[in-house]
Amino acid sequence: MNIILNGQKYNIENNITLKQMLINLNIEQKNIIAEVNGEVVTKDDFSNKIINENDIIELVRFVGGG
Amino acid sequence: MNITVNGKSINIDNSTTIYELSLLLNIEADLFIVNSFPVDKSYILNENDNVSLIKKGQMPDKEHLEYLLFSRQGLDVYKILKTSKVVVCGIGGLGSHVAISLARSGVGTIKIIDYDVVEPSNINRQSYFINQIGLYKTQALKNIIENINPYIKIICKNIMLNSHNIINEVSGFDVILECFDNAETKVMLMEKCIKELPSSFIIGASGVAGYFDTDIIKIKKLGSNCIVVGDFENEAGFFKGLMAPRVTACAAVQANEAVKYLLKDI
Repeated sequence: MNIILNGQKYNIENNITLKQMLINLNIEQKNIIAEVNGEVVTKDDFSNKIINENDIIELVRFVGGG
Repeated sequence: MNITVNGKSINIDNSTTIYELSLLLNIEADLFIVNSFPVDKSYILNENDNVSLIKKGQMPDKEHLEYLLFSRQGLDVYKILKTSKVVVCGIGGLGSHVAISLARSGVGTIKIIDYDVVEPSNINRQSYFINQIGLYKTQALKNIIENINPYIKIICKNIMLNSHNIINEVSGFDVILECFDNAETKVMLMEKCIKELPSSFIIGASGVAGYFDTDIIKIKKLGSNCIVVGDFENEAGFFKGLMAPRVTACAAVQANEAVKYLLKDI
């Protein structure tokens, strides 16, 4: 199925969790907060969040420095 | 007709020039500002004009100074920001500049939270002075801000924020500024505040290290009450330093987003 991740189109497996999607796409999960269709998903919920066709996903990565 | 001069409302005749006004009020001035913009002394005043009369080289009295500080900003902006409340979490490279920028803008209540003291490795990018080394950052920053805008309330808190105390310390503020150095602490604040404080606007930062292009600094939104500023990749690390220009640039974007949010209704 197709999804939009950080503004880019990706084709991923049907009905997988956000956590599995990140693993499959080789994206590190450390210090990430996600937004799926405008709703914030924090790390504790990555393994519950089911990704559906045409979902719009944004990943915000927090890195140190300030 | 009615106009405002140095913060006070007065009545004058039509077709009065700003220079005539200064003579009329017996206020010596060589800088004339109307509705946030400098004008020539021949400027003819209009109904509802907001006027600042400034004499260069002369310290104004305390009664007028507060309004003169905002001559270039406008009274409407001043009034809204004066009643606004923000909290700055971490007052290092990001937070010290964010707090100063918002104090200059006239935000009426600013809470600053940091557990640490000023030390030599801070000075290259944080707003502190060498003669403040050893002071609590909260006290040092309060001292600086009082010399910029003595008309606002500064609340200092010397504690280390964690997942247990964060909500208690930052609830009730219009804007929460995440200005930490540590990535895990940034995520902690975001995860707690986005969900538990939906009526506050949260502005974070991620990716401020080095001296890379400033045009890769972006703003990403997280839900309806949070945005994050930075390049999301350049982190502090071995041989990856933090420098004043880029950290300050990100702090300025955070402060601008706070002002934009606070003034959204005008």
